[in-house]
Amino acid sequence: MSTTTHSHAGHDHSHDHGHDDHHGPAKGLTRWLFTTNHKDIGTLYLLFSLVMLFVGGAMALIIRAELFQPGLQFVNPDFFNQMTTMHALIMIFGMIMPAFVGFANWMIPMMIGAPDMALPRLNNWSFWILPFASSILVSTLFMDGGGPAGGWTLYPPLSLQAGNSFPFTIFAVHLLGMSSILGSINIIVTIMNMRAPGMTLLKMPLFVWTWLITAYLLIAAMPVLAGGVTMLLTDQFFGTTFFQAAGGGDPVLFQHIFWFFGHPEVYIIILPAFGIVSQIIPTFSRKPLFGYAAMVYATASIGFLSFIVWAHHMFTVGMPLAGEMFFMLSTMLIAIPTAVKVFNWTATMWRGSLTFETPMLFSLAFLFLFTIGGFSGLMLAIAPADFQYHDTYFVVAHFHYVLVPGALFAAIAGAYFWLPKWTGHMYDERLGKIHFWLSAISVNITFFPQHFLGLAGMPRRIPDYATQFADWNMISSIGAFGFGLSQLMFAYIVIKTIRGGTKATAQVWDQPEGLEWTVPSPAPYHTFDEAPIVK
Amino acid sequence: MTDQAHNSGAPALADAEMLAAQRQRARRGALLLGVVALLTYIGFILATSLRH
Repeated sequence: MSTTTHSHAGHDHSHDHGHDDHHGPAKGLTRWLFTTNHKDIGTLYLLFSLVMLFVGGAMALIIRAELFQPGLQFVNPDFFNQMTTMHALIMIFGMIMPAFVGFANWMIPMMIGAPDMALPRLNNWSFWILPFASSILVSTLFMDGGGPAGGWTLYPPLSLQAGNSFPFTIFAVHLLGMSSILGSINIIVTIMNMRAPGMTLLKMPLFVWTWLITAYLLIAAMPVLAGGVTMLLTDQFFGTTFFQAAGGGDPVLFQHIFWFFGHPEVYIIILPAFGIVSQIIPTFSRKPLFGYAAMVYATASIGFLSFIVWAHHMFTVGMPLAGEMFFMLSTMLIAIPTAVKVFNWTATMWRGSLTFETPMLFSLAFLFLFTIGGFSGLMLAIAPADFQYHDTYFVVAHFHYVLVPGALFAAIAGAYFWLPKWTGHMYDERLGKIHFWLSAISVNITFFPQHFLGLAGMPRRIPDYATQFADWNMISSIGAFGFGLSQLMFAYIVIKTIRGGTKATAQVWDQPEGLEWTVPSPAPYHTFDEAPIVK
Repeated sequence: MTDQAHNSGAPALADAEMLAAQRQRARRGALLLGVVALLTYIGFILATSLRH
């Protein structure tokens, strides 16, 4: 990062500036309802995602409790299917995406030297659509016929067989998509227009770069999902037959549409995680990020490639051989820019002065465990092999390795990394490390056995299974409960840090890089009233 | 690593003008991106309808 000269990074509010937007936060509930401050909105996103982590996590534990042993124990099969569907929808749209938008809101303006997001009122809307939409989604569980049970992919004709919940689910998906699109637009125009003088594109922190590319992916992919589910809605209620074979439609067309959104969505989730890890590893290695420009180009390459690989999710539908070859090879191609990133993070640590505080521990676990998820992804990319793995627990193990010790660990690492900047207090390092070890061990106990189950042929999305799968399922369920309980510890640490603790300095860590570390901790309500000059 | 010096920056008035200009450009950009997203949504449904 460049040398910076700046003034009034965080400023004293005791004197009147004559601007309406220079007041401090409003009091009470109105502060949170009507706020246009990027830090408030970032906090709302992060707290909301923490709550949804436990809502979606409780659903995961219902699934794992049922699968603890063969036979039906606690729930009926239909409710089990509702749990698998809702767990995925909530964790993806309600938890992990809002978490990263929360990080973006908090950190991007401070990282680029902007006083706030470019469109603060739109920012408020983007957030408040989210709890409204999520409430609609969760409320479907209490409707006649229960919630959606056909899987988060909403494949017709199964998804059309849902009860009253169907239109509400579609409405909720539309709203969640709208929230994401509005948030993405705001992020793009903020990065492109609000950078401090001297903050050229190739001086931006990698977290900002990864979010810029993610936001473009969201704007390209989300309207496609919205189009797809709108067509589902018209098929159900307005007599169209886009996806109904009886009327000349094609159910497989929906799969193409869904995965044209769904695969970029995977990178929408993981690219900001890459960005967070790219901030943390250099800080605790006390070295600049190795191969910054290569990291930027690798991120852009992953973003581009994510749009031409979608059909690897549906090799078994019966594509022409040329199609299978194309999607197999294009999928494998993604391993190259991803490997560039993994090697660059490793090279950043090489001969660095490493210390292993909690954010670094979670980032290192991310590096190892995300790579395991990447390798199992390569196995799944081999079209002939995928015919064996498809819809088995091997797939479940693969994407959970990418999303839990991948994306979620990066989000937790980011929370520990920036929590002192947000709250002004250091978190309890001892508790943080205990949380890390409990999480890292239990996440592997949960998901690693699922590789064996999948390879042995256990199908996904079933509440009961053959007795040959009993042992690994029992171990996986024990791990899941351990992981779930560990995250209660995370919530405790966060609350404890918000309430008090050792005062954090402005820099927090040992010589970290970036404008965000030049403002006091906690970051003042308004930062950069005068633009910092980046040299 | 970042080397920071806390001293004077640009005058506040210039910053306010710069900020207003940045926000104006941002609003135009946001409108354009919003239109692109909306056209993708509508165009996608129409294209599928025509193919159908």
